[in-house]
Amino acid sequence: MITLFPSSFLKIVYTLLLWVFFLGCATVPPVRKEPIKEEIPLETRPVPKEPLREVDLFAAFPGKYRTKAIDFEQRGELRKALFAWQVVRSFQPDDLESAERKKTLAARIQSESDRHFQAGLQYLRKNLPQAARKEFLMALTYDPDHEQSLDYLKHKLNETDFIRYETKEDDTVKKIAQKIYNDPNKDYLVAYLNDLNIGAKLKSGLTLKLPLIESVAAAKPVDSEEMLSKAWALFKAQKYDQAVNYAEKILEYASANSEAKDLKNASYYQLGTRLLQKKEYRESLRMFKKVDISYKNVREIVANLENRLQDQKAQAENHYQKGVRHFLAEELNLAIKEWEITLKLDPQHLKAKKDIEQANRLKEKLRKIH
Amino acid sequence: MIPVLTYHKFSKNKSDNMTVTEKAFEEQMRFLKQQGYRVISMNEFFNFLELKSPIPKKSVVITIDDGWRSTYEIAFPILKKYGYPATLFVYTDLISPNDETLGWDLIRKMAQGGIDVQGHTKTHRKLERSGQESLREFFEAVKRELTESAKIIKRHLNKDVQYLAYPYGDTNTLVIALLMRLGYRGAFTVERGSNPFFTHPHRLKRSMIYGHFDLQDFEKNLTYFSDEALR
Repeated sequence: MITLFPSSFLKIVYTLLLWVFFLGCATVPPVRKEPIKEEIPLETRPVPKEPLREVDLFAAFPGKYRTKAIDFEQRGELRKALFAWQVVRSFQPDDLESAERKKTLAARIQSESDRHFQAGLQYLRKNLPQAARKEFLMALTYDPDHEQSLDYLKHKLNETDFIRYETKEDDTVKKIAQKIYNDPNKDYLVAYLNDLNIGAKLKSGLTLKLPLIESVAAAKPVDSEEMLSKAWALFKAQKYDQAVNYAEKILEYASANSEAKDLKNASYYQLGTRLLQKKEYRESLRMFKKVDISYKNVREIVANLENRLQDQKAQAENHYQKGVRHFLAEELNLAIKEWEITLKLDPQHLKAKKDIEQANRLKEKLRKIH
Repeated sequence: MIPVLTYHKFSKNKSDNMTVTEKAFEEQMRFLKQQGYRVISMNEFFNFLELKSPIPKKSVVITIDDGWRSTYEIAFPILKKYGYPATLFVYTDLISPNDETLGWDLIRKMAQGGIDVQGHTKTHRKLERSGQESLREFFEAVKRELTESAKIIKRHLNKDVQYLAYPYGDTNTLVIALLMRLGYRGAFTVERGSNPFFTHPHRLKRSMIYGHFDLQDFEKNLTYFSDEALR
């Protein structure tokens, strides 16, 4: 095999890279200054035979953007494609392809956004506001300035719990309450919410906004009981993460609910135990720390886990130092291996992570030199 | 998708669902800074929702509920240190100066130091009709909760209330209709999740930060997305 460089040369390069690795950018190598040259008198300076040619820095732009535009079009990113064609056109106003593509794309964007908008309206007519919302969002993806879609998303979709009522001649607040709520005594709602006087005569053509009130039914008194029984069922099915979600929800409303507290403790305890069995000590400690310290033997478990993780940290440091020694002995692969063990034992060991990255970069540089 | 974080109480050492320790709160605020989050004010958030002005990527809103004294003693200095705006939702019946709760003098100090004070009703009653209440009684009671608390805040701080945090996060169409009539710009539930630009301004989501959350849990609440947001 032919080698371009003798091994002693590689050694020198390696040592230099090592220096760079350890010193980083903090030290700047001394710069060898060029000796100051004497100024050549004007009359003796060589005269260029040809005038200097101006380099057009933007010459490559149209080509680049043409490629980009085609690529965006193929990926269905129409707006980006349109923009790229516009760039091409601004550089080459006589270019027919970009003019044509720009026109076609603009029309396609318009038709796609309109198609999605119409689909949204259809879903709304079928009383499917969620599906409608997705269509309006799609319309905006094609055309962020699609005002009607924006209007539906921001306003009309949010008003599905309201009725708009246009007043007619001879309407009174009571009559409207009768029409909308089937109860003339709900006139106070119509009046207050629309800033009207109950007894006043109404002009025709006014638009009133009235809430639908079926959903304002009296609250169920014992929903936390229901939630608790569901949560215990999940606990018994060993779905501890779901059980704990219910417990947390109940505690948001009633922080003193002792059964919910028990459930939360028991669930986190089980989640911690599961992780402990899998020897995932760090995650296990996270779970046990969510349990009240006085619950069962949690205090003891937390202390043991903390000790174990402390030991692990010390072991991690040993492996890190081993890695450094390998590195200094120019055994890059072994060094990386040790630092990987370090990270496994202590994922927060920042130096190990950084050194692996730098060592890999160094390996890559050496590979290129070879 | 803008996350809105909710805190209640703070403590030097103790933590539970409603109480976050000083250390944890400091860590969380530092985390926001380190991860490049931008804490924005409530007005900035609503200007964005109303498509009036843009906000930075990774924006987040901080809110604190009720009016506990620890807000002043623990959270306020940390917020000030990081230069973060926050909104304090007070229920006005709680406000009286003692060891546990805030008085108006301290609230005023916080208001002068970048804390926006907004409404959380007068008595912190659930805005849900109880079995014994007629619709009319419920309507009048909610109206009182909203108007009286706003009047008290106006009297003490000389400012108009524009935002509400629903006690226990509960709301319904009638409450929303009342809020709109009274000129509230928006209101917040405690449903976990972030808010896309098209969220209903009176059904905004907030994520409660529990005392036992570690940074991993905290981070999840900054990136929490449920496709319910699209429903």
